[in-house]
Amino acid sequence: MTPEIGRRVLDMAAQTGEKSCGIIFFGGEPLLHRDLIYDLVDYGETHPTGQRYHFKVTTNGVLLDEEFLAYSLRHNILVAMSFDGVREAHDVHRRFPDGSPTFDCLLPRLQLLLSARPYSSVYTVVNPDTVPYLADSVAFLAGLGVRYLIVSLNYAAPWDEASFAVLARQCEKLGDLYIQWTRANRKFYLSPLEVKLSSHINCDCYHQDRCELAQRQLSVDHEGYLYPCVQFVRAGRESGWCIGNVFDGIDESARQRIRAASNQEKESCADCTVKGRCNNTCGCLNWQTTGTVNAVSPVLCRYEQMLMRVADRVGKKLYRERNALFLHKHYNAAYPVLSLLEDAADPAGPVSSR
Amino acid sequence: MKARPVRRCKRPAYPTRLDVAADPALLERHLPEGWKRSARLAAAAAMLAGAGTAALTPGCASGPPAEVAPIFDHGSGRGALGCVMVVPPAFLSEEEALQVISEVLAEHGFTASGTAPALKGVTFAGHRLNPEAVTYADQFSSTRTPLVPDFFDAARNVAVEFVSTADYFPLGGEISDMSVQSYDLKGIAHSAAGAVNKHGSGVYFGALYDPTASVKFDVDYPREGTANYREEVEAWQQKSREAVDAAKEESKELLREQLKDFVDWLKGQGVI
Repeated sequence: MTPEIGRRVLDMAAQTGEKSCGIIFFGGEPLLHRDLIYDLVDYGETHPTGQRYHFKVTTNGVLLDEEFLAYSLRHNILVAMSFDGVREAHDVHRRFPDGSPTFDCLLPRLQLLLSARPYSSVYTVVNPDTVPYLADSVAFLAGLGVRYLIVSLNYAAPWDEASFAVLARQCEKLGDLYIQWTRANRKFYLSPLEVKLSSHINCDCYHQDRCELAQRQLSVDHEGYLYPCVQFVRAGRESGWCIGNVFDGIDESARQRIRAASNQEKESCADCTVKGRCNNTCGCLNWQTTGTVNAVSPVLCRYEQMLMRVADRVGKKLYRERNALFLHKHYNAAYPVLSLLEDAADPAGPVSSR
Repeated sequence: MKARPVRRCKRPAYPTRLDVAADPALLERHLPEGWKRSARLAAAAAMLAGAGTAALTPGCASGPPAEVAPIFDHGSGRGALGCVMVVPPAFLSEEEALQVISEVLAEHGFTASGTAPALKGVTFAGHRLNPEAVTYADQFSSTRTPLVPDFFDAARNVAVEFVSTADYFPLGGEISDMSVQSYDLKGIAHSAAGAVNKHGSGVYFGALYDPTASVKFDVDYPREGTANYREEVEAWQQKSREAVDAAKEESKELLREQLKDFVDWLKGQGVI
């Protein structure tokens, strides 16, 4: 991506009328082009319209160093890193081009990131061949000090009954960890369970957090073409998924067409009583796994039901105990602020030290 | 692998935000440990929650409110006595229940501190059985009963009330005017917990109830006139006693389940 295209992206974002627009650099590997990041952050900070932006970089960590972290702190850029957990899981899919493993290279970089930015998100991807290590990996990352852990399934992988049975057991273990850590007054965010708890607790408001294809975020490829989500970039500009470019703007008819297709009732979900809590509205995920935005992958369906069961067990248990951390984390809208105040007042307290 | 819709599902057993919004004091009563230690944070919590600070500030003059465990649902807690048509459950006596309660809580380091004091400010409008009653109308008299928990650990301010049939009328249970007396012991446990929640202070309180396991006994009474009638009656009586004992054991096991949940709740409160 050229600096000009990047700047046009920021200009377009400024036209949305949002108070602060989020710009996420990801790839590929964005740190291969850190000068471009510096250029665009500088442009955003001095944007002629006075528009405010918040920036985030998602990196594989290979090029993450003290210089970039210092820059990210000066300019308040969030940094998220991909890391799959214990060595046995991480090294299966995260390898250098020559095939050598990356665990030993990336572990110190993850520790560096957490020491500089303790609240950084870590992304973990689970495959059928790494699923036996899921709970161990989550515990391992938490042990390193990771507080925000986003665990995603590789839905396109060849999941079968046997690997799903392992996944079910691992998810139950995640539920046990969630209960154990909450009882220990330990603050953390564990994505699949938090989202599923929220899907019940926040009732209709949960829909605000669900994916709405082409509505609240767009992806821009290196040539400036716009897509409803990152998964569609690979379809190419000639596909029906390209909805404009940064020079000519958004093709609203294409955007609405995609939105309408994505919002159609999913046939397989018509009679489902938990569809309001499900991630079946994620059009890009549906497209990635089924080839169409309004058909749901069986893997997603099974996984969502599994997560709901675990989340509901966790929620029931912690609510019955009237666990104070659970109650405030999920029912007190001021919790994020209060939690930060607590951390600021006692940075070396029991939570931070874990 | 196929996508399979969920046709029927139980409502999750934890509330929505809207449910909790109807009971805003819930969040005030349950503050994370770190917040309780910091008066400034407690004050910020109160301000952000739109509540007064007095109840949140540690050491305030009125004392902290009681922390009350939910009712842990193990056993129906219902049964009836009276007419021959009624098959009564095996009710546990206060002594039998206290034995189980003491054993389980002792495993977690709790010790009963002699005779428990009445919980200040917690009383019930109930009835007392009058043993010298001459007429039916005289057998109960109205009374205001203070709540004296069955188990109290003074060192850790943990109190447990076990709701048995003996507690039923004093704690406000309904008196039947028919030949069958029904007992809703779980219902009374709920009202006891509610009263402590409303009026109690400075205690971690759990209301448990008699699970009232059913007696499973389906043996015909021996027919009169047979040669071994006396032996058959004794055998029948023995089986009947065994069935009651088995039901009591089941009730004790269900009570242990209630205690297990109560202990988990105490862990969640940071008492253990």
